[in-house]
Amino acid sequence: MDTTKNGGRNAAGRVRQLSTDEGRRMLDQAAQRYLHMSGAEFLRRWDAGAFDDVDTPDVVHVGMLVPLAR
Amino acid sequence: MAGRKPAEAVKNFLEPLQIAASCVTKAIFVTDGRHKPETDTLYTLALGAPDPVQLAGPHRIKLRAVLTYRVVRWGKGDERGPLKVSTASYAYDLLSGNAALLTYHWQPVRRDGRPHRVPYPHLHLGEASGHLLGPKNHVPTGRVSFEAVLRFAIEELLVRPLRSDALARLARTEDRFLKFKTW
Repeated sequence: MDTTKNGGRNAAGRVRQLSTDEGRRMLDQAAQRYLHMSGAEFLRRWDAGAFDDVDTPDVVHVGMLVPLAR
Repeated sequence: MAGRKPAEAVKNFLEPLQIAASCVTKAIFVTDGRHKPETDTLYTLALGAPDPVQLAGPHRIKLRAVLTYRVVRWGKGDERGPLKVSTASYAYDLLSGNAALLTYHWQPVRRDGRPHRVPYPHLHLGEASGHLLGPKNHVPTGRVSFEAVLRFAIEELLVRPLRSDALARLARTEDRFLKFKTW
């Protein structure tokens, strides 16, 4: 997902609205990249509380993307 | 970060962040809260996801950042009101190659609404910090209380406290410090 394109106007403070589908893809790609599991698998474990006390950078990063996928 | 309507408050919150990001990258933040945001609803803002943003420079530093925010009502007559955006959590990562360098975390509340095990803002030294960081670097942290340093020494460096109620005592004295600090 290329987040560098926005008409070249990022310096003007433009922030792009993300759709839920894009959020799901972002979560899936991040979960695979950092945790070697699918976004669906991450969500399943997340909802089961498997990461509740995990404070490692990669888990926290992917976990914070969860709302974008829902 | 203030506004008369939620959308205005969000716009005033997002724009400075994107302008700040534009100092080091052409990447843009994405969010689920730009269109028709509502008060008291949690939104997410992300940069460098799923792929971290490559920054220029000799150490090939990469950046990724995610934060959550909500629009809240603020006191009448306050210049920051009547609505403002309040940050609810953040995770800012600097990486060297694919290895973590520094990670700034603040997540006071867990997924299930219960307090997080580490509810205060903190810094993780990543595996790449050993060869890039040393005594000449000044890592920004925000203001840290004396009590927080002692708690870190006890809980994570395994310093043995001289009192069994040390952590409770530190919490009480830190609470007084937080209540009366002026900056």
